[in-house]
Amino acid sequence: MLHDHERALRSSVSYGRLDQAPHQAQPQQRPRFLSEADCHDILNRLHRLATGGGFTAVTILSYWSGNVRWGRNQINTTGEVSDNWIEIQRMIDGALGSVTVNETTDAVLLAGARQAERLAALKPASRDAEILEGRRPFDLVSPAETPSLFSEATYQLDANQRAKAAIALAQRASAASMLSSGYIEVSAHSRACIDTTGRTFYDAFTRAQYSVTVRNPAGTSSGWAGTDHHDWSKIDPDTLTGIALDKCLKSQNPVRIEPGRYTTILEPQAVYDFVSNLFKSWGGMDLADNLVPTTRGIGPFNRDPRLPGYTRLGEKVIDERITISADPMDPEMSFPAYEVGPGWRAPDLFPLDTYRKVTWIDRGVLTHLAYSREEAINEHDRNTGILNSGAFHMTGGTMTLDEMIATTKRGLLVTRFDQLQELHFTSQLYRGYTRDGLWLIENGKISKAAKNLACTESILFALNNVEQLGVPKRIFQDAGFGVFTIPAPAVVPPLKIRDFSFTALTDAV
Amino acid sequence: MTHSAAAFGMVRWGAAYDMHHTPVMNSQEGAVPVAVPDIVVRSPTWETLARHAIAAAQHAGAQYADVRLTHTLFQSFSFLGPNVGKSKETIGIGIRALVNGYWGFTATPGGDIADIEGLARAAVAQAKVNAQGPRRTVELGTIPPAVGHWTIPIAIDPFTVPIEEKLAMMRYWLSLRAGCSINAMFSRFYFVRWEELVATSEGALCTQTRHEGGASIAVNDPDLRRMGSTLKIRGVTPQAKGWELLLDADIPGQLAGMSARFAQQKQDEERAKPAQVGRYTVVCDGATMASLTDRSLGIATQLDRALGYEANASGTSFLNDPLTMLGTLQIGSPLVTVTANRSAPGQLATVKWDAEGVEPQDFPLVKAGVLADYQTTREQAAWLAPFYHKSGLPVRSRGCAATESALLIPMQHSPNLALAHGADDVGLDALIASVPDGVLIRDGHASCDFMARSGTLSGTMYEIRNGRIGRMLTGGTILFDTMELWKNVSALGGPSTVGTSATTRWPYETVWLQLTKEYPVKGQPPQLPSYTTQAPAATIDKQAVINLLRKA
Repeated sequence: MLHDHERALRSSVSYGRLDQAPHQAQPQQRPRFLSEADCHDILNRLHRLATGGGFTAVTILSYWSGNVRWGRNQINTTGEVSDNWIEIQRMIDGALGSVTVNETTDAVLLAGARQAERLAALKPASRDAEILEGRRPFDLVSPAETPSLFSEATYQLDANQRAKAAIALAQRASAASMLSSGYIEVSAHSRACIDTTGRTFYDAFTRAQYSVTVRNPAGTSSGWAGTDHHDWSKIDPDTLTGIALDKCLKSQNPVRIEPGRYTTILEPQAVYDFVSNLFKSWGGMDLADNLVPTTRGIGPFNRDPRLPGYTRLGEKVIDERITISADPMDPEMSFPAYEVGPGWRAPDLFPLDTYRKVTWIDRGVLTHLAYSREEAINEHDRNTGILNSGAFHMTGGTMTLDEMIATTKRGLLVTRFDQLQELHFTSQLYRGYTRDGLWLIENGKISKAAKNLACTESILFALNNVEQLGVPKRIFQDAGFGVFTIPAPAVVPPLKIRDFSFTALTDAV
Repeated sequence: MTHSAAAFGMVRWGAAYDMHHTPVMNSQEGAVPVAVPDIVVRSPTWETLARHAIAAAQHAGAQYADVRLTHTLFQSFSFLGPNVGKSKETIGIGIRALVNGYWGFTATPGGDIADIEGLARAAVAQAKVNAQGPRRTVELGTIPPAVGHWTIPIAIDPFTVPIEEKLAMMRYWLSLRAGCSINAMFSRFYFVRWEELVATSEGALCTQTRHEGGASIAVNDPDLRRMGSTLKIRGVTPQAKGWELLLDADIPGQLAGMSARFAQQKQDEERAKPAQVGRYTVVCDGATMASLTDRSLGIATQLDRALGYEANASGTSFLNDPLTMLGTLQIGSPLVTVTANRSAPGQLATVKWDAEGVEPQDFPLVKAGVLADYQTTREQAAWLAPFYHKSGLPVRSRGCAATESALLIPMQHSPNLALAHGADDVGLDALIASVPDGVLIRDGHASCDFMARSGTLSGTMYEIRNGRIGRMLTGGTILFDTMELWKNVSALGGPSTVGTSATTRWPYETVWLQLTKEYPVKGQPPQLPSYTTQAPAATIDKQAVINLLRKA
């Protein structure tokens, strides 16, 4: 079923600002990343430089980033960097040659175009080529479904402001005789897919992140807090630093807790660290993985591993109080509506794929599994896939973390997990460590700080053993870096889980 | 990547491609140079850019400045069809400036002299605003300025081998039917070449050319009932080698002999039984010990981790009080000596000069079981000055500054590591023969917590009964405490047992960020320059075997 706007878009060649002529901006006004005009200029120059017929396409990822990093309460590294990923594609007689460069001079573009033409000459024409030669329009959504994610507060946070913020934040730990290490990064990104058949796409977004770890000088305690947002002004580094400092100060004399099964309250960050594995690449939400076994076995949402081809779509897979969805326009966690460029899901001929609102799990029932636009075209004769962005919004309840603690007779409270590694794909079993704050709860109160534990638990087991759900909150998400920054934010609730399995002690702090 | 990453068989590899350097326009047409090297050697040259950058930084007030330029070529081939696809070539210019104990760093791809001078001034301006912080000193010590050019010794620069020849080679290997055949879907190889320049305000100006290549070539089981069962061609794990990496691996010979490996694997799997939980004497092959050395002692002896500078990123270290621990802390049995180098031929971190222009020397990290040194950069060496003075050693960077490209700030990264082998030529069989009851681990992979204090070790496990290899064991993993494990090393194999672990992100190029949990990445933003670890086989007493798939 096509949406109306989709029909409308199919009838036009493209959605984009074709009417804007490329122009040469003044040097001092140039953005610190490639502008829409720059990207059109690159394609136009490539078009002039091309020989051998056919047509030319570029996929461009460009970014600027400024960061400051501190350790032991002093700024120790810092940086302001720009870089580009410019993928030059030359399609001649149905064969595609592609070369990636990061510079924009004529000399580089000329060399890249020649090289791409040479590669095209060595490659036979393919069915992929037919698809592209057919000028299938990009799968674009309307502006109303495209969030605005460019923040001047982020883009204008200069080196001086970053340094001043870092110094003040480190000072808080220093004043408490603790050691902090932290990181502030702001970045601006542009992305373009343009070709000489008239298809055009360009967007730009910003991203800001702050995270801090506070440790005591003896090295017996550690606290962490962090978040990210496209808008730096929505991040409150002072409050986050207070949380990390507080966790550090309160956990200086941790006790050993025996491994075993515990009623466990996971803070939102811990829920994300654990559950997000399901939504990452190779995480189990892909339709294909659940239809046919791979080297890792069959996906977690197959009905019966002995009967490939049947998924658990329509079945209850987790606690019915939980709905998990993703929507680029979600006001609490908006994210770019497109996947662009050389991500592993976007092969050469599909430089652009689209994230639409999707409900993966509706009140515990599995309602969608992901497949790409390439799979949609090749296998389902549709122009639109159901793409998993990695972003997800998980519903919760109304309880505060304090109320969840107050109603726990004996259990553990986890700040976050680290180094979770998949042990078993089908059961979504992971092993990892608690980090930066683990607490013992006794008789409704946090009674002691605990030494870290290794856990071994299945995501699906945990989400079927939920006792209580708290108020959802936006968490810190590691979106990659550089040109490959892909914001995939998440809003998740704290969860109280029965019988969460901790399997080993660790003295790591 | 040690080889757990290979489990991600569904990584969609960019198709094969070539970046070879013959000018595409032939020389009679001549006017426009379009060969790839011309991108970087065109006027103004690297040296000119570097000198202008340093001068501009000094003029703006830098007390010290250095500049790096890198030109990186990457190519990768998939065996799946003559599928010519992508190639990648990047240029980076990065400038680091020091003002009153604080650094500034700026980087960009390319630019003319005016751009680079502006970049240098911005780096100084950044250092100055950072220097609003509390008093901080950076002592770089004095080093002889690096001057000259160096090329890593390889036999055949893969970027001079025409693409036609590479495709022809692949077709030949795919056509081989004597014995087993290659699984095209899961087979690929890649090559990287770095041209690097480092210049400092102290007068260093050096250039070097380095190479890396590697392959993952899967072979199909000839037994059709075992569809999907594959084994890997040996000897093609990532190394600092050229095209000879593939030619020397004797792929036809390996394919011819692969049936025996499959028969053994089939027999092992048919007789396999579940591992029994308990304490065992463990014999590890060289590759397993290399992974253990890398992920435990290698990570723990990084000075920035030890002092907490990485606390908000990759983690810390259990060797967290360097000045007290150095020279005194027994972290392994007297058999355990770990040496760092950036000089071993064919290894991935081998350089003539590091990212700061320091000529690295081999140095011990652990000597006869005692912590002997840490991995350092110029700035970090001064942090250990009291120990070096006491020990009569010069206060000098250990040459561990590295960066993936000039677009990232240099920081301390792992050099090549080597666990010293036993004095006699003890083979793996001899180690096994002296164990009455234990387990053997082959091709193992270690993973540690964020302090390298404890971890797990898993691989292909066999029982050892009365000094002989018995049945294959399934589901078993060693759960270890790092120091306890190293203190229980009771025997080492000789030179013939030495195995290798290569840590590199390049086989995964654009997808590596999604695999970062598999990698010992450092820094914010994260980096992972490549390095190699070597170790002999070893016997380790009293290790706990658990079954991770069985929950508490």
